[in-house]
Amino acid sequence: MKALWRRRPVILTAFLLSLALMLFFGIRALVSTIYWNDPARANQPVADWMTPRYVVMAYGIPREALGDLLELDPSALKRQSLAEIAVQTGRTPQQLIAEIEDLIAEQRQERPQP
Amino acid sequence: MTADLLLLLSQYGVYLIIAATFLSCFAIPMPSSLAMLSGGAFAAAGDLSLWAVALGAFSGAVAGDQAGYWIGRKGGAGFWQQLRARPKAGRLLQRAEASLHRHGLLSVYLSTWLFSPLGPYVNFIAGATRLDWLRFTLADTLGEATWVGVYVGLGFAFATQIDAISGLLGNAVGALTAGLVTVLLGRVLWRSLRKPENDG
Repeated sequence: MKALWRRRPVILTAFLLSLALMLFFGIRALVSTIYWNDPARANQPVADWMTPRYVVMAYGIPREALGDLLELDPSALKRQSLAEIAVQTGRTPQQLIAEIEDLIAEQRQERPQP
Repeated sequence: MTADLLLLLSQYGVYLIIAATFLSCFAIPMPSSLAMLSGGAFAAAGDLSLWAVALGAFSGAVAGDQAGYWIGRKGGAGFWQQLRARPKAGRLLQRAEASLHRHGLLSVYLSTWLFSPLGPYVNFIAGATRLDWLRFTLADTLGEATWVGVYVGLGFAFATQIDAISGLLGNAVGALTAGLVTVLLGRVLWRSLRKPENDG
């Protein structure tokens, strides 16, 4: 090790650095696998970047119910973020997200998933 | 950052994906993996066409790699010769060059997706050392097709778990790339231990 350090200081440093990086990323990959395997985290919260169609897909709510809430024609949903729709309908994104979360909870009660 | 990118994606669609994969080929830190995963997710929701996402990501990436290769070929040769002429680093670079030319197809192929952080450098060095353009392009398009297929495909399949997938893939690719660099540097160290007299 000492001989290497005398002869190849730069490469030895780079070697140790990349070894440390490998361990760092490897451990993070492992931790994130364990973290996301927790079923409690399977449901991502509603977020302002989501589009109406994404909400329909992710939470399994009917298009029509969401269309009513967003004041949009359910057959002509566009690629538009909830943030944008909130501005158009005179709400804050937080308000809109809360309303959608209520809708999702309502729908789950009406049609409980197996 | 995920949320910001996704907001932009709903606004600019495929153009954002093209820009992200193109710019990532110049070692500019670009969330190109996340852009492709999100594009796949939007396609699953019906907000983007799956083919447009895949084709956009693919063409952006291939165009970026070609640009990197030609920048290296037209402007990098002199720079590379200078580096090679340096006593210690030079020998290392000569070995890297020889290895790139020996395993040209495989190196370029794997650097586009499995060891994607190395991609920009491989493109540049391939150009600067005049790796055959046709071979480079063949390996590169195959590699980018793999990259796009894996990331857009996973985004499509796991559309509601983008954050989880993106974190896992990012860390796994980071670990693999660092592992490869560790092995390559380890080989150099090992050799210089065994042949001390060559190491003036």
